Amino acid sequence: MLRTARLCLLVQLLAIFCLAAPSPDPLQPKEEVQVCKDAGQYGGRLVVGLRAEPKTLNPVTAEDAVSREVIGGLMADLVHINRSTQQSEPALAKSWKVSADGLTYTLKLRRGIRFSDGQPFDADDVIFSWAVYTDEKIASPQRDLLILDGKPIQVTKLDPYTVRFTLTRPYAAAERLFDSLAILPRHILDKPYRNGQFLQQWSLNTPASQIVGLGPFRLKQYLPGQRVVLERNPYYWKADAPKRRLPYLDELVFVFAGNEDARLMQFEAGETDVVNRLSAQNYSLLARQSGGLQLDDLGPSTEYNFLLFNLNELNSSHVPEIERKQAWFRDLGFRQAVSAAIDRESIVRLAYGGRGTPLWGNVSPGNKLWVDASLPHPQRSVDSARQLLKSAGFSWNATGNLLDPGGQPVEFSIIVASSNSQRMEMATIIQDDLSKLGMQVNVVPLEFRALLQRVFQNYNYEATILGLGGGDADPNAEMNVWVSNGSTHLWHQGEAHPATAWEAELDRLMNRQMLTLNYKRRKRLYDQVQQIIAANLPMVFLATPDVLVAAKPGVGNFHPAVLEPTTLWNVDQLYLRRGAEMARSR
Amino acid sequence: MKSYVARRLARAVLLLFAVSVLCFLLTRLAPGSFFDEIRLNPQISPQTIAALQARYGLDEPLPLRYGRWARSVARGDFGFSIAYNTPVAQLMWAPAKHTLLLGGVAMLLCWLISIPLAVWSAAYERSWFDRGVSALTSLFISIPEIVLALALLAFAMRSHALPVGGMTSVGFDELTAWGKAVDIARHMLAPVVILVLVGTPVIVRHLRASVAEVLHAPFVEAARGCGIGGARLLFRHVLPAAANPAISLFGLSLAALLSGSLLVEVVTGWPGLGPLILDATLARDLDVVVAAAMLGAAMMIVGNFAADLLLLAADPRIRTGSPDAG
Amino acid sequence: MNSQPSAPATPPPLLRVQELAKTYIRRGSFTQPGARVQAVKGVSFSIEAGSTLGLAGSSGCGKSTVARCIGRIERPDEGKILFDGHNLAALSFRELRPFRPAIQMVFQDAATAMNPSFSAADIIAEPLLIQGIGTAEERAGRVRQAMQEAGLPAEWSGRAAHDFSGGQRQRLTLARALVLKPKLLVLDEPLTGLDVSTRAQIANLLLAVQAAHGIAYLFISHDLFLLGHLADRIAVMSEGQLVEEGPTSQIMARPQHAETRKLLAASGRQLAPAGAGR
Ligand SMILES: Nc1ncnc2c1ncn2[C@@H]1O[C@H](COP(=O)(O)OP(=O)(O)O)[C@@H](O)[C@H]1O
Ligand SMILES: [Mg+2]
Repeated sequence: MLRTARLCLLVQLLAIFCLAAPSPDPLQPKEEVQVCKDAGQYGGRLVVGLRAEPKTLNPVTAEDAVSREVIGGLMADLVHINRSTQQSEPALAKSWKVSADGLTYTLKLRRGIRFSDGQPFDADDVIFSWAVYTDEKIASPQRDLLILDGKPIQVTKLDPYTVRFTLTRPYAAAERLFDSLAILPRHILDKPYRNGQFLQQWSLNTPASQIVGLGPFRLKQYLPGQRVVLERNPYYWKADAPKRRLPYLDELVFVFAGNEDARLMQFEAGETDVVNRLSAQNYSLLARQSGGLQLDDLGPSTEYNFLLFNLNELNSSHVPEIERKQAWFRDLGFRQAVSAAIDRESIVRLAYGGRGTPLWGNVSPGNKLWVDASLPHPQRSVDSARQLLKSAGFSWNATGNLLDPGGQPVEFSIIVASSNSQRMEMATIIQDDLSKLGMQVNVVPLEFRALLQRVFQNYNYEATILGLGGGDADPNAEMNVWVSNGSTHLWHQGEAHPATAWEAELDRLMNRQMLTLNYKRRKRLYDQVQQIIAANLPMVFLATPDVLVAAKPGVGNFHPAVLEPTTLWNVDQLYLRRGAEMARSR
Repeated sequence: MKSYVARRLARAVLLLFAVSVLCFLLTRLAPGSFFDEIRLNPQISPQTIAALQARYGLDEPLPLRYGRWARSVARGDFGFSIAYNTPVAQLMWAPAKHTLLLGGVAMLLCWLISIPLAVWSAAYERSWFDRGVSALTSLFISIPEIVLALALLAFAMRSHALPVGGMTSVGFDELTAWGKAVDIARHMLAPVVILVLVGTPVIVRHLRASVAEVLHAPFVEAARGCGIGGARLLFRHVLPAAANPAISLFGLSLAALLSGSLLVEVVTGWPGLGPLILDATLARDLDVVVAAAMLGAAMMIVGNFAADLLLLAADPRIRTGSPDAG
Repeated sequence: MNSQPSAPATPPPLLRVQELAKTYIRRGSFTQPGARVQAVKGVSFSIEAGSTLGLAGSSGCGKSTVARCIGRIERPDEGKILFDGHNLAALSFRELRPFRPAIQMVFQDAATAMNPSFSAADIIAEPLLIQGIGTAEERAGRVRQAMQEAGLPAEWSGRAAHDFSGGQRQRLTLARALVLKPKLLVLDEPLTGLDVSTRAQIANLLLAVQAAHGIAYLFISHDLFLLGHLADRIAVMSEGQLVEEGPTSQIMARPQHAETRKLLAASGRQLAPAGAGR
């Protein structure tokens, strides 16, 4: 058995060396390639473990993170956010100019570059892509980003390599909108689009040759339930320091494993080269192994987890019990007391194995550009919590149970996604902490979709633990969480008018920052937002996990970043050190 | 005979219809819908979500949705997967083949192992071999398959002897034909072993009991009196006479071909229907779930029918419907 | 056909059974050890070629055990079974094979004595196959012949045993026994359970077969009256032992042992006149 296995590996190894990957096309003088600082070695195959199977390869309709991660290897955008610096950078647009009023963006496109099928790229592809993304009938999940005040951002072609985008009003850091908007090949997709067939394009069953992009790789093979194999795009528009065309890798392979433990096992068994989103427990498992793995604790992520009370306007006949309890939830003193009593350090220690950071506001320290570092981090204090409750009119009976001003015992339930072990852990810690205030808290595990239905549709819950963030680090991405009529205004959905004065102030500040182009002034506005949120606690912020990743020792230029895709954001520059292939086989 | 088949067929269609209505209703009654999760994304507006829901008809009343679903079944699409934006039939084809491969191999091995084990332990009743077999079968019947699966997986992980999940290695296409077969076999080993360990004891138990009973029948003595003994007696005379319960069991394993291995597939990462159905259930990609349930029901019908036909072929007492048929 | 006691130079008997004994151990449970049942003890008799020995006795006295020891379905604990000069009791299953064709058995319940999943032709041909006799064609011929001798139409060869009536089934087991051209047929209550007219038909058939082929019979029955018609000599068993043995006329006319008298009374008929019938 072992012998055949070894033989099998040997055959595989030989095969890897005579792999017929497309070799990079030599750089042409007219081609305006982007030159990177790093250097590496050509060849090899990088295998990455994904937590699910991608659902589509159509960048316009894809809505799940896994599909987007695979599509990220196939496609390119006009302007790209550098995941490491969190700043925007030129991509297919080699430069852009913003008019003084902030209403027009003029982008210069790279000349002489080609799609993965060798066809040239120019302004028509941009115009076409924009038409598709903003098409109401396509209903792309990214469309809403491109609509300001109900009108799509307009684009005009000035010449084959210059396009101008026109906004109806100033929009801060509008160039960030271009990030992850894949530029589509007009020569392939125009016809199906005009025939109303666009939605059926680029499913997983589409022949590889028909899926064409500007990304570092192109599709080679999809095996249902097993893997997606990408091969080098020989026409990719980036080069390394010695002016050689990127990417270095012959192949980029995504394999799927349903749960994190299986992904870890695959990594340990040498079947994958890179793992993302490790839990603290698995991270320390890997850390205990020798063998020179590249293990990175990248520090706090941009995700924020919070305890949310139901402050929605309820139809009283529907859930009278909840409506009664909302009197407590609406009381700021109550929320502050809860926040003061929660032991965030324990949450970090127990839910995240110490690899996380407590939060007192909505912006994680992982969001380097926007976090308000001056926000207070009060120590946990049961005493001050009791004080707060007392001044809010709460009292305690002889057995130490908390009674509301009306003399009713304080008792409520937290619904939690049963599949999320960290949030389950948080809920039990909170349950324990609040029992010290005499509150009776029940933890109710629910299947995730069932939970979301209650949070978004029938408001049939008292409190829940959720997480947000993790996307673009810019405040604009969070608009709909904080403006009172936003679709993700979780604690009070569908407010026609701001329900409170501080919510009105949040609306004003969020809209102001969106129109402000200067970073410093924007930052001041957003700091104010963070302070108001921290003071009024529409959500009781808990903690953010660290971003934990690992790679084989042989993976070169491995510079993981907090923003998604953590490890693959520079996949065009990743390479396998020579000899790494040999090491893998042992 | 023809009318018998026609009657069975009509009953099967009726049953499938009932199952489809039931599944359809039950799945749609489950809380949550496919688009709930993207509501958490602050960058997608409720209007966009509403447009997406309308595209897949999620906003229509149930009877209308059932009608649409039934038409798609008639077209051979078996519904439409929202997640994959593709007809369910197209989506389930490849995983179903993988499940069939796994289930088929496991079933074959189960029977190849069970028959001799059962026959010999019945033939050497109360010998050490028989006692050993019955102790082992009791043991494996009482262990839940999930425990078996996890134990085997832990072993595979520790020893690194087996690949973790999947059906083929990444470099599969570059292997020789023999190498490919070995590669698939290595990937299949863990799930097949689990399925065989779970399936074999049940078959051995039933078969051993019926063989032991037949071994005491007068016709076996008569055969011995003719000088028939050993393997020929066991496999040519006793086994066919003891086959009826085994054939019914065989029908069941046929019925379970596409559904018996789902859990094991999920645990071991075999790219079959198991992971697909689990994902679809969690994501509320309901047509996939309904199609899977229908497939299970159809296999049940096919399995039972096949068992009945086999019984008919194997047992002359049933074939002629003699009054003293036992 | 009657053996002549006074005939000179008597050939050795076809079968000689000496001091046969067999003890069964009843299947016990986990707590109770199995009980020992001595089914047969010290039974001796012999059968001349071509003659019929009737073995009578009440139910449970050990008749079938004797039959099964002779047919070597059972291995006797003690005693000898001398057949053609060989002691069958001492031979192993494998060593017995060449002797099997010569001794064949017919059982009481024909329905259970045949494999339910076999066709008539398969049932009859199986002994030939085991003995490795003939080509497929020759075997088919012998099957047809055996069926004919047993009074069954050859067209029924494809039918399953269960498609035959009770009497026909007994003919089928007879055909299976005859196909190997045996010298001794052990018939263990072959007529019990059949209706009166069928019994007569089968009994006549047995007589005809014996007349045609000169086969010796060990005919077991609890019905002495019937044996009186069919047997040359009669042996009577009681509680595992042989209590009386002699020519039919003598046993019928002057039963010595109480068991014999009881059996005669039980067959519900008057004593047959001496020497009657045969
Ligand atoms: N296989 C067996 N195991 C145990 N006891 C048996 C077995 N076969 C027969 N016996 C016992 O041996 C005795 C004789 O049985 P048997 O020879 O069948 O009697 P008969 O045929 O005269 O009715 C009976 O008491 C019976 O219970
Ligand atoms: Mg008897």
